[in-house]
Amino acid sequence: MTTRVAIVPLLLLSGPVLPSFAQEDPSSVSAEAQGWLQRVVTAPRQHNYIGTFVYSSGGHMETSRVVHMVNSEGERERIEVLDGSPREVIRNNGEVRCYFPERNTVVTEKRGLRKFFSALLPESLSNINNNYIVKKGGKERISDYECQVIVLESRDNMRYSQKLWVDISSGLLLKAAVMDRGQVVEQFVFTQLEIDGEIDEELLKPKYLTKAAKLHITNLVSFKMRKGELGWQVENLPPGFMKITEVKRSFSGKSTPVGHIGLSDGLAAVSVFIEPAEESDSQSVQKSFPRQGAINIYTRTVGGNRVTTIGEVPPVTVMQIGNSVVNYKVK
Amino acid sequence: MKNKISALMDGELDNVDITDTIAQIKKTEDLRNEWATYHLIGDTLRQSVAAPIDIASQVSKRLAVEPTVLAPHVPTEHKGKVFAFSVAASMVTAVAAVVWMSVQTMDRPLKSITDNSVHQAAVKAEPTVIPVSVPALAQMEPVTDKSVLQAAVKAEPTVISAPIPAPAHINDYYLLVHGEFSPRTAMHGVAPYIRMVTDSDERSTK
Repeated sequence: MTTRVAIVPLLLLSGPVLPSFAQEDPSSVSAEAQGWLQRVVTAPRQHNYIGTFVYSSGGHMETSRVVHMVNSEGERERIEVLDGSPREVIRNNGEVRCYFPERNTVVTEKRGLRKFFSALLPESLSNINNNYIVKKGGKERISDYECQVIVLESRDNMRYSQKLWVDISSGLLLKAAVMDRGQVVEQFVFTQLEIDGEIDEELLKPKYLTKAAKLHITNLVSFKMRKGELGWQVENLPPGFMKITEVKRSFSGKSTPVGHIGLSDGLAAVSVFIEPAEESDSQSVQKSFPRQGAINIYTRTVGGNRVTTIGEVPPVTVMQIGNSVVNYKVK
Repeated sequence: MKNKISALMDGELDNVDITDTIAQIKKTEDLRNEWATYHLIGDTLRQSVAAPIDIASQVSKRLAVEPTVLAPHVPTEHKGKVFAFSVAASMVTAVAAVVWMSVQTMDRPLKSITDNSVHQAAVKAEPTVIPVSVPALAQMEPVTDKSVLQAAVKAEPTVISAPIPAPAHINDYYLLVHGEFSPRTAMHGVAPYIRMVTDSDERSTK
């Protein structure tokens, strides 16, 4: 068993290293810049790192510590928020656990969908090219590492532009900014970082595990739907967005499963969640919630169902998607 | 291993893993329980007409009237059959294991299955998750009355920009699920989750 387990991450690694950029139109895309994107996606599966990063959005700013380790058992990571109330995120390959010690709550997701993107990457890259102008920028120093700047400029107003700072030697992403017409919407940047050093496994253990007995644990379970099985679809997709996945999910505390349609333009993602409306939901009211970083949230009710659209895209995009969600079982 | 069973069900394993996983399922009772639980949940979520529990009762009824065969026919060996066949055969065995397990539990109500050994299995879904009742699922049933939908469409909706942060289920669950699916997660690692924990914190301090 042990050897098999060791082989799996290697197979996963070999997957995305296939794309050929030869067929890309050189007038609209820098093949080299796309090669950098490729490196950004594979680098976390090849390097250990430990460091501190700052996440900022609007007037909010927060510091976190990250420990990331790759070995024969795969990829493990722990993030601890250092400001404000203590919070912790632990990833063990596909499993993610978020600890909220002050609320005695742990939320876990056993089988992430992350592999969608490592597996779909070549396709995803050409889709990126259709929706963004990918440009290679200059070189800048971040946390004492020489970085290559890659700019993904949105081709329309349905998505944000992005700017990435990629460590030249490792390919790790050391700084990233989401931009809305020149304005920074959210940004994360390493302020201190050590790449490929030895990592003590103790550092990956959750700090709040000792209190586990008292913790309220919520497990998120999902099941893939066959095409059309969910019965819902987005009729008016913004240009460049495609459906990536369709699942039903169980959330503890909810008596009925929630439908989830995942859409992406190759870089930005939008999720549509469909569940029976509650009595408090008004039939005719649509609600948009305050932007959370680059994430916009929009809800509306459709024939007794509450449709929640979430994505790191401008408000106009979540609204267009949310407003065109229909039940196609209706004849 | 548990993740692999789930991946096997979704047809996401490669050939090496498929044989390996099926072999493990055959060997270990816990894993067979796991397999059965996943199917039970999957069927319930998919509102499958034939839930495993029904198959079990049908099979047991058939078994009850079946005469005991003392000298069963020994099938001839088919060495060198294509890999797909052996996988299919293993699947049949695995399915048989599920049916067997279901038969063992057929006299007990659905809930008791989830309360026992199966409950220890990897899914570890909260008990409320597994026994989703059919009436509850029916609520999920989409609108079939077109006029209702048209009425909803015709009603002039008001867009409210809620000044308050999104409700707890959005912050705690939907953002986590979305973050996991977003391609940016593949690039930033865990970083996008920070967004979620940040927001939850802000809400809890308000």
